[in-house]
Amino acid sequence: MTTATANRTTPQDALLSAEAISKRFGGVQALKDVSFAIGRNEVVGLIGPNGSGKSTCVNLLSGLLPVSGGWVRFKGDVITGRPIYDVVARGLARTFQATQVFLEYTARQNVLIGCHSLFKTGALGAISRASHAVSEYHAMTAQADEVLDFIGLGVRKDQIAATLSAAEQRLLMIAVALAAKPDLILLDEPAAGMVAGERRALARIIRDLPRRGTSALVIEHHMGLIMEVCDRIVVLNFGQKIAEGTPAEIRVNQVVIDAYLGHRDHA
Amino acid sequence: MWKASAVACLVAAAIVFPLIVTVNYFLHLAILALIFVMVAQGANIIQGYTGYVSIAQGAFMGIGAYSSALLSMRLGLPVWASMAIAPIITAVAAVIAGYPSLRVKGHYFAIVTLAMNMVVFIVLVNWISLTKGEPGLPSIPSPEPINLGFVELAFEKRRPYYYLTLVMLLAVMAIVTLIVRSRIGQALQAIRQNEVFAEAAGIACWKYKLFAFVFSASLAGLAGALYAHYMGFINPTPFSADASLNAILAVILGGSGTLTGPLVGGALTVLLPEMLRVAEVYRLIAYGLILILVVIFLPRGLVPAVADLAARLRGNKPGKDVA
Ligand SMILES: Nc1ncnc2c1ncn2[C@@H]1O[C@H](COP(=O)(O)OP(=O)(O)O)[C@@H](O)[C@H]1O
Ligand SMILES: [Mg+2]
Repeated sequence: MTTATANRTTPQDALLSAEAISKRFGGVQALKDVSFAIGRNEVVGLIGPNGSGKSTCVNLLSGLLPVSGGWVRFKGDVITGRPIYDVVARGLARTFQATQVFLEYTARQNVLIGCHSLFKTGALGAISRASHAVSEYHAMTAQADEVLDFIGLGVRKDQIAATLSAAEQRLLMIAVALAAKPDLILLDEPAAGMVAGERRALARIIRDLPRRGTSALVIEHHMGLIMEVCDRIVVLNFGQKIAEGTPAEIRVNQVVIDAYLGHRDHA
Repeated sequence: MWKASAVACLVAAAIVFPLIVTVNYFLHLAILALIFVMVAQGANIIQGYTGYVSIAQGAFMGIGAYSSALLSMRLGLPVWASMAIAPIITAVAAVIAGYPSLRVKGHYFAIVTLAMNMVVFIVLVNWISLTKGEPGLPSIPSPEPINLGFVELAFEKRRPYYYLTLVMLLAVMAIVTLIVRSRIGQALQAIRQNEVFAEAAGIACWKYKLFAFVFSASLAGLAGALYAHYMGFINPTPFSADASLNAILAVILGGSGTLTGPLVGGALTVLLPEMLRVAEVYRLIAYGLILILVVIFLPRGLVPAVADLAARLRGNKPGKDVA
């Protein structure tokens, strides 16, 4: 297990490693030769000014967008070029900067969709309601409920997602991503739109993730949250990595202060 | 509970219908309605549940109809065998059209399916050595009779054919219900609600979309086969893009993404133009007007609107909230 100060994760023992990944959108170089690694049971922050390439980075790691260059390795396999649903099935889940849920579904139905990659019984068994398929479905429902309890939406299980508050919908999106018990979750500004109390609850959830066997990459503008939950922080600026270190190191890093921290009040 | 009893009543009514209604023309319309409900059930899977509009259901009906007719006439297969093979041939056609167009999101699919319908129609009209073209294929055999011991079902008669169609439709609806309520059906509805998120949640969307499309096509193919062996004669006309638009309409009219919607919508698209015959010249205008009014005032379709009304009536009983 990696502590805050020791043992920088090296690509060899990493859960995930980005190796010189780049992305061009036409004339815009959104990401350029970015490399970093995430270890097991680690929470890593990804920070940087708006437009510095944080979301693009998550889009490349998760397979939502193809890379223009570089590799992504996850649990030893190169996953670059794999479709996103395959990446998820391998244990790498993600959330989105803009809230995404299945609005017509209940919270529980939402999370059950996130369990989909875990089902072992085939389509025919599921449709014909074979007994092993039915018991598997019950087991998944129990798992979905457990995830909802963990995220704090247990009492909202049977509520339609469209009727949840904005903050609850964001939590639900995270619950869907956590449904399949991923090894790593990529959280793109999970606290966006949350008030202080909600943000504190979210921080607790993120800190608890390693205990559940899930590492996290957290994009966040709120420095209080980042400094609190992260073991390590990677800093982007204009699509390039400008620093990496513990929260204590990043806080006093002059390059980071000039590029990012200096321009913000982060009370 | 009231839902289950409503379905039971409907099935009972469908069973006694030919015993009470003896006017041949009404029985004829009822058979056509049952066949088109099957097409609408299929269209509902891809359009209502998965959120992708197919404009090829008419073509799939045609492929099913011609396949079954030609297999039984040219190859001398038993009609039962040809009717079983027809949906499989239709499914293969759907894989060919669906595989490239469903791997991408968005509108390609609708355009590809419309193009496909046009191509199929042109082939049916012009491949004269096979299809006999516009004049059509006459003398298509009826399914071989079945002896149940106490009664022999001779399917060239209307009443037995009605029951054959009804049994097939009930079987189809049972399968559709099982699919929709399974995790497969839940995945389809997740795709309709938010495809990007469904994919990020681990669903290989293209496989599910292809399944929905191929299944919907095979239902249209089966319906086409039932149509061919009922009419005894087919030509390309009923399988044009018009039929596909009617299937789309049936789904919207009845209530897309509901199990009973296509039942109501499919039957209405067959029966409404007939019922409006009293208005003669104004028939099509009246038909169009009714459709527009439904879409404007009941955008979710007739079945959800009636269900809402029923729920509201029960919810507003004295003693409950009157807000
Ligand atoms: N799909 C896209 N097409 C074109 N340009 C994009 C796209 N996504 C992001 N960009 C550009 O890439 C850069 C990085 O964006 P993004 O990764 O969203 O930054 P961040 O999440 O750090 O705010 C920006 O200049 C943005 O305009
Ligand atoms: Mg962003």
